[in-house]
Amino acid sequence: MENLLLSLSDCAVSTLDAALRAQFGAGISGLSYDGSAVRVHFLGAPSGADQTAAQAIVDAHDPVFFSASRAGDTVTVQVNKPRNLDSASQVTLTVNGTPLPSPTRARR
Amino acid sequence: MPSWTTMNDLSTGSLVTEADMDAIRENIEYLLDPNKQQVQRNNSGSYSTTSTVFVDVDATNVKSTVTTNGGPVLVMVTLNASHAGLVNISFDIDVDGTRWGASFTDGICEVYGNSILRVVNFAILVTGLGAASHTFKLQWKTDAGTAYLVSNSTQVPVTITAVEI
Repeated sequence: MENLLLSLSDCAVSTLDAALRAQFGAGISGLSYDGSAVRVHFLGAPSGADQTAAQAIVDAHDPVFFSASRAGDTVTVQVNKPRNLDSASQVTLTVNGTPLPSPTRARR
Repeated sequence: MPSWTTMNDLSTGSLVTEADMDAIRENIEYLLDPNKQQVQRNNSGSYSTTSTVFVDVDATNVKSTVTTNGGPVLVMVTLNASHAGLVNISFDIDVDGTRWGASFTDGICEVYGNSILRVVNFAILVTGLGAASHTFKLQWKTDAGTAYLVSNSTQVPVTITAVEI
């Protein structure tokens, strides 16, 4: 086994694990995280391309995003408009670039 | 710190010298305070792993190194682990690069996750070591998913101790 050590300040371990397994399949046993760095556990010696790919996955990792394995998780975002501010602009909430359904006007 | 002194092999008629008596005294003192190292690791946050084969928890910080005089070494571990899934978390000790419980798929001990913080204490007696410096590292794995190991000052450390006995 060889470990590839990559710096990472924050990590959603299961999400990153899924991304790495999608790339390397049975070539890795998983990853470990200690709060500041990720160790990718390669079962054999990783090639240069493997190391580059692992680095790219870690660089692209955003711990804020939910993983497919946690599709049941939800987030509630509440937007309030002051009662006396008729001139307030409409608010459109987008998630990952996709606008959500039209916001409901606040009642006066 | 006391040190172990190899004693003369006395026989009938041998003259017991001050050096011989010093060696006896020093060895008794060594037995009272043998070579050892205890590490209480505060990682300022949990360790985690998804590895399904044994890997070091922290090869730099969760290990104990002892210089021995040829005696056995008692290695003791105390930790708190968890896993949200209905799977096992397994632990073992790496002795100078070889997993001590290698004859067993799941190492020295294992605990069941099930979203409960599990207290794990285990000890092994490592024999057959030559007089030299030896390193004992905590290793772990999970059957699936993500396993966690608490290591912060507001909760508890991971502790590994090795002592020549």
